Amino acid sequence: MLTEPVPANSALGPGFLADGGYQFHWGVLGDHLSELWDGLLRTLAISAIGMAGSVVVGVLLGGAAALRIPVLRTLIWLYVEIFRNTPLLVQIFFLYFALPDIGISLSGFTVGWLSLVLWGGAYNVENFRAGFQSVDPAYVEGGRALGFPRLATFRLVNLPLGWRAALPSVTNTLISVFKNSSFMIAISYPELTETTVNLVAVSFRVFELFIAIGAVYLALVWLMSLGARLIERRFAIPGGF
Amino acid sequence: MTGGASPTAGAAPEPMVELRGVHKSFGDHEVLKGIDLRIARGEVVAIIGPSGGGKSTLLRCVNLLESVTAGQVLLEGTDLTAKGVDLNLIRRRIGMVFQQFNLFPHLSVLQNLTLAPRKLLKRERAATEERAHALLARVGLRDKAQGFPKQLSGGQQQRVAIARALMMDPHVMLFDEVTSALDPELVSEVLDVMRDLAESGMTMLCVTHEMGFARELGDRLVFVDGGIIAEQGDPKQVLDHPEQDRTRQFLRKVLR
Repeated sequence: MLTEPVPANSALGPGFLADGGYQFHWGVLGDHLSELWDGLLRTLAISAIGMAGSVVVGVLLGGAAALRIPVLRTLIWLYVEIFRNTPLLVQIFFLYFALPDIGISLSGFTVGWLSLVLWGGAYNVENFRAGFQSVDPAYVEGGRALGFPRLATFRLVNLPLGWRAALPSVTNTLISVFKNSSFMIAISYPELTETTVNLVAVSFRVFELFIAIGAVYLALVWLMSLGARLIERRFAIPGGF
Repeated sequence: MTGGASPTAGAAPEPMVELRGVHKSFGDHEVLKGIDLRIARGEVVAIIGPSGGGKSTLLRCVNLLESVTAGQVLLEGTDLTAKGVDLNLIRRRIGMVFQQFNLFPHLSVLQNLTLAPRKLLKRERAATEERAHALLARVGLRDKAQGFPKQLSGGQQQRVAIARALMMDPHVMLFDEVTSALDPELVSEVLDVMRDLAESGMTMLCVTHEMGFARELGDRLVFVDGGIIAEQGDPKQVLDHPEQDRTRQFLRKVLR
């Protein structure tokens, strides 16, 4: 806490009192509610597509990897290695700035959801593969002995048991996908974080705005965790597995 | 060699299952070193022997859950090791029950029974469910249809597994140490179901440690050791008067 009066040309931003205290003006949120709302909707849109797409990618490619389908399996491994071991930011820049050089121009929105699908998908491939492979081989053998072909056995046994096993790690990945939607600030796609940064630039209300969107992100992540727990309970197998 | 089914005079009846010179290796380790075995329709064969001797592998070669390295496996005259044989179709005729039950844990008992007939045989739901309830009643689990496998005792799970296999109307049943994972007091309820099945004329191959069962219900006892059939014959004869030293040594240990 400063005790000296703060000169007018202080490094401290507006909102700071002469004694160093801070005067909150939450009204700034109301003033820019419609911009923030639009930003939130964009965040939700690219996150929703990103999460759903990454689950589809994860189940399909994770399944193919678990079934050890030749060639495909190697390509999947390559995809996972590339997208898990390079920064998401580099992937976003590549999609947005490099692809136009070979004639593929993608909008900010497209790069937004696509980069999340690709990044989250790589993690979900591993989540689902591990889940499918964790299924006790005895259950698979039970299916094969009855006369179910390999793929049908996978669908009837590995899939329903494996996704349940994968749920906690998939939930973690989906939460990361949602939070990483804020990376789209790098290509100036006006999702919630980009919108907020722009509003800070004109209003100087750093604390109010960042605390507010932080609370929004937090609340939504909690909601997702809650949703995952409800799904877990809804699909719990009586007696376990 | 006595058969449960009465062999007709003249031409020898086609065996239900026949193994001809079956070899099986896992890497460098040869587990089966030439198995020849003919099982008649309706015959109940008990397979005994020390662990690691190859008896479970032998059983798993009958439905080719383990592929054979050399030799032939025939089911009702069809060579299963021939090219172009659809094993998935063949396996519908071979019921198998495992030591660890292998029921689908995410499906109810009723669904476990009806899944294969409905999906593979395209049978009507109502008809399969009716059949399932009848089989559950037969194995003494009439009231467990809506339960889930892991809510049942080991003995109950094993009886469900037998009923599940029977749903496909198999021509032969394979039992792989089905009582070995059970608490002692649960063994008899499973053996009762197997006795019922044997008396109904089912062809059965049972890898077992239950010498009492083998003696009472087996038409034949096969002693497998070191990857070969070391001795076989009438169960009472083999158990009471084994001819081979290794059989004698094994029986001395297990019958003590």
